[in-house]
Amino acid sequence: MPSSNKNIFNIDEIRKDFPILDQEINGAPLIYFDNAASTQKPKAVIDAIKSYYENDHSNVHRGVHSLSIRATDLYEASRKKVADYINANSTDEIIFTKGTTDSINLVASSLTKSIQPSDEIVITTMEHHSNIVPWQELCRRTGASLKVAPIDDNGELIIDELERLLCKDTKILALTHTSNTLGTINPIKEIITMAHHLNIKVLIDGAQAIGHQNIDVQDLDCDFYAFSGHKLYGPTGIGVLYGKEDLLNELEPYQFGGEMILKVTFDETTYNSLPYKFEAGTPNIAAAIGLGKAIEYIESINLNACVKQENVVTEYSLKKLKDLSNIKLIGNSENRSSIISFTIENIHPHDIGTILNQRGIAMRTGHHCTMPLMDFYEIPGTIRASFSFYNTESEVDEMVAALQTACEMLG
Amino acid sequence: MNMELQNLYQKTMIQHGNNPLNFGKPQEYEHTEEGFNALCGDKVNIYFRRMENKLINFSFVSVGCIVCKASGSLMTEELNNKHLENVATSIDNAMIGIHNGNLKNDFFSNDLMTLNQIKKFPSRLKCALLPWETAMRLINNMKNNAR
Repeated sequence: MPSSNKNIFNIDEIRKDFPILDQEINGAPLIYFDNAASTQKPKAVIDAIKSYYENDHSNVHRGVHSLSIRATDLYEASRKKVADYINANSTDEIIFTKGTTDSINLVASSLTKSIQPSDEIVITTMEHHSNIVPWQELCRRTGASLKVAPIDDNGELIIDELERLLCKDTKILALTHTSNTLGTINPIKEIITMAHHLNIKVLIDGAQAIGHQNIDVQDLDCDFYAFSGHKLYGPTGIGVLYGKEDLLNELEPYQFGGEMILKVTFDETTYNSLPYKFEAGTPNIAAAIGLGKAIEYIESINLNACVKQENVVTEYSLKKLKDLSNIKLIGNSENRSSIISFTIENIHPHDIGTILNQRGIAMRTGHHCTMPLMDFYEIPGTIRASFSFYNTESEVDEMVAALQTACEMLG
Repeated sequence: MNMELQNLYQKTMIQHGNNPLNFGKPQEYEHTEEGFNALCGDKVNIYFRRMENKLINFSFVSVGCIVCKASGSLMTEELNNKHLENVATSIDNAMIGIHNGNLKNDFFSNDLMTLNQIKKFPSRLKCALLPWETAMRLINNMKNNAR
């Protein structure tokens, strides 16, 4: 059992739920500050996957035998948990995918036949490659144009410029909820309302938002919302595409075969209904079950309490980093998540990353799959600390000490 | 301070990394090639001229880490004025030596031995190899174009 049903957020107890945190790296206690890349897994998730394979595994949906029925029930129960977690209107709106990238590709591919050469797709400067390249490819296939909404030096979207870009030719606005590099949280609800006034459909890349704030897709009124299980303390290889039911019904299938089929003859094929229409082939059943368990875990420890802890560590870290004279923050958005990017004068991020790792600190360095954003700031990459609720202020102190060592050594 | 880390960032590495030799785009060059590490976004440009059978004015520009710049600095020192017929073999041997951590000062300069430490940091091998791989591609392109 996770250390659940606690009224008080006890970080020492919470950390015990994550077996991986209890280890040394290069002789120092592991400090895991790479949560934007992937979060660690609570024992409850690991146990659920193990239990599924030990007791319940079979293929889903088609079997009449007991194991298949159990596997199907567990798989569909996870879909229900996801639907409830993000407040979707029904489980038909929850498509299981491989991850955020797969979810975005699904929409971009499926839209091909409905996009004209005169159409425009709008993205933003701060997008991850996964929310750029699928749209570039859609434009290449259809002759449509890709427009990019700019940001300011603080890493905030320039809303007026975005509004100017949106027009009657814009078919899709695809933007991130939270920037994986800058930590900026975009005001997506207002942006979605703005886009809908022009009948523009909006896809939100929720990869970095999903584990760090409450998501209510009906309140946001987004048309599509994409996220990955492994950034929500669940397994890798499972993701979600939320889509409004009427829009998903209009979309062409993405891949063909297996569960997405209702009836096949050599002359024609009838596709299955939602959500199976977009789930070709045997899905990642164990990972879907693990994702459901991850959601249960987060609910048991209370997401709001988690976010509060992340905010404490983020604020503390920002204050400490600002005290270091040669550090430049990349991204100073007022509304930010638990992601902090920075550069150090005359020292390349990679060298810092190696020194941090020797002190047991796992942080990501490089372009974070946002090369156009690096071009905007005219830097090769950043050093990125991304926190979760299991991180502490004393871990931040270790990071700051390691950064000071690095500066003395390499500067 | 961790000893392995000290060995990696020893004096030679820091000197060549922070103040690389043969650094900058030369005014005159005949051959150039760009190398890119898609994993981290690091970039290297290699330049040289051919004079009879020797390669001269070997220089480089890099937007990269200390390891990448030091490696480029040491490489250009090593390869400048080398006979064309020996260059590819030198690059090959250096890349194998960096990979295995067994560069020998019978063949290479003492300073180049600093790159033997990279083996203990596998995630940094690509940084050290990028200038050499780019130079090798440039040599091969030049040979192919001459045919």
